[in-house]
Amino acid sequence: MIKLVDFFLKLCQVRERQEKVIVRNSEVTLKRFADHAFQEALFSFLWAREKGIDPEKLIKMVLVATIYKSFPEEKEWKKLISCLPSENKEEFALLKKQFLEQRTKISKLAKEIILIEKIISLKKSQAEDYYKENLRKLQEDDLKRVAKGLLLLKDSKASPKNNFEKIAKFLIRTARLQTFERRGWVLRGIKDAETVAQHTFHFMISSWVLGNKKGFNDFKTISLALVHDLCEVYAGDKVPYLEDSSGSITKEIFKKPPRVPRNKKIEWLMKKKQKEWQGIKKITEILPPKIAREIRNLWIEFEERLTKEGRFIYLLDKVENLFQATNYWLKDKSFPIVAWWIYLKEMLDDPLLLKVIAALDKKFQHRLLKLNGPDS
Amino acid sequence: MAAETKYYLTKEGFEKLSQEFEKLKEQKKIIMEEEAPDMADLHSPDAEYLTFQEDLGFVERRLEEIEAILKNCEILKPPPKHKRHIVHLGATVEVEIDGQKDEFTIVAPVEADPMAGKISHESPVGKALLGRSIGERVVVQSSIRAEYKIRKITYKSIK
Repeated sequence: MIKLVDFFLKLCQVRERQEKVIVRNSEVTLKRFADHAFQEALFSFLWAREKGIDPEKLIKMVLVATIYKSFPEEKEWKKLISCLPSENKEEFALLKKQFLEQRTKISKLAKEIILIEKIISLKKSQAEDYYKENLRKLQEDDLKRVAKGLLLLKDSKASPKNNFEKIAKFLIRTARLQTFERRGWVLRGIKDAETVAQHTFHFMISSWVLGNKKGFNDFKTISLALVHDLCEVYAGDKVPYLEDSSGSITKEIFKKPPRVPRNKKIEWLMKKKQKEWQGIKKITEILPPKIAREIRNLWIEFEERLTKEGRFIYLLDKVENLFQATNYWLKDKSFPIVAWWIYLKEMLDDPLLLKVIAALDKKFQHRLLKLNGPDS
Repeated sequence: MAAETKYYLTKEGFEKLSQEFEKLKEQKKIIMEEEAPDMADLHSPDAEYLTFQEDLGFVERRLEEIEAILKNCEILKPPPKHKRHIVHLGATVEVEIDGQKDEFTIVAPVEADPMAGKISHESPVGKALLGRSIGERVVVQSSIRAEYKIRKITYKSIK
């Protein structure tokens, strides 16, 4: 289990690595790999549903391609995936191979999807040049229509006219999550904090790997993670029991878990649910109805913990925060991490997730013990 | 044959699940009547049918899950008066942690909603509190030490 914890901690580094593309012979720095991976996975999901193909392999391929692009040195890549359970290790290696060699229809499609998604990040004139330069690499006609839709609808209020343009408009709107820094980290004083998209990328991988260990369907767990924060495009990111208007907050308040009376907890939770439900309805209303309904159902399954998978992924989301918190704490010893540990001992009841945090505890035991006060 | 899992529910949890079960049965009827695909679609599944299948599949799975819970559940009752100073499943426990007050209701995993103050009896804190009584200090084991002093125990959620 400690090796797996090493994998998840190392994966936090993907968010720090940036992507570059060539436009008109000059190098342009794009957003970070993890931000793009979120949009590429979302695009893959929508595309597969629109075309009636299997989305699972397509999404997995873009996720593995992102990890590979972030760790391109063979030694680094091998070291990273050696931390995975054997079944995941083999699958990751195979997906990487297929992606690089462009052996399958899905691997070619993944490459095209990754290419198109970049258009969202580029400035309008750069995006147009990039599209023209890469046009010959796009084999799929309908994908060209999405790319054209992205160019047409970018920075414009025009309404989409067909399903391909609807997908393009949805991608433009959800691209906000690539720059949307998570409020909890910002309030804790983190500069250049993890974005919602970066969190979702990491969460998709942990849902895949740990969900697989639980015997769940990979596509189900990855999809639950993929859609879980889409509501935040309109609803914003909520920090437990804090009002959105709470402006003057110091990071001191995060030294202890939030303790508020039960009626306040329920009131806060109801408001959050209401706002997020409106958010998920609004963000999906632009999509073709059947895809919109599927995303809303997945979101409800996660949010209301309606299934075994929904409950597990909901709790894993909390563990995800501990991974990122640990990442910040390793860089800055004043980062308030104690509250996360206390909170998770109240929150988690899944044996596998308890094993994961026990392994994290063991790994940093000496350092964590020092955080207890002198009276402990 | 393996023993069936027993689900312990508060009365409120039981009612909530029963209502959801009835609503889902209605929903299933609506899906079956209004959106059943042509048989031809079964042989050439397009995106619409795949999504439809997910919806119906989801409703059916959820119905099965709730049915299993309702069939094998026991509604929690408060313990006899002389045992109410001890934390049992269903108890609402007022605690003091590092100078702060909080309140948890200890429930089965199926009803747990920690953000709303309902914690699972299988969580480390839930486990540690069970069987303890008013005035006791409960320490949850891990590198980060957390001590919960039990101030009050009530059974208001299962009366």
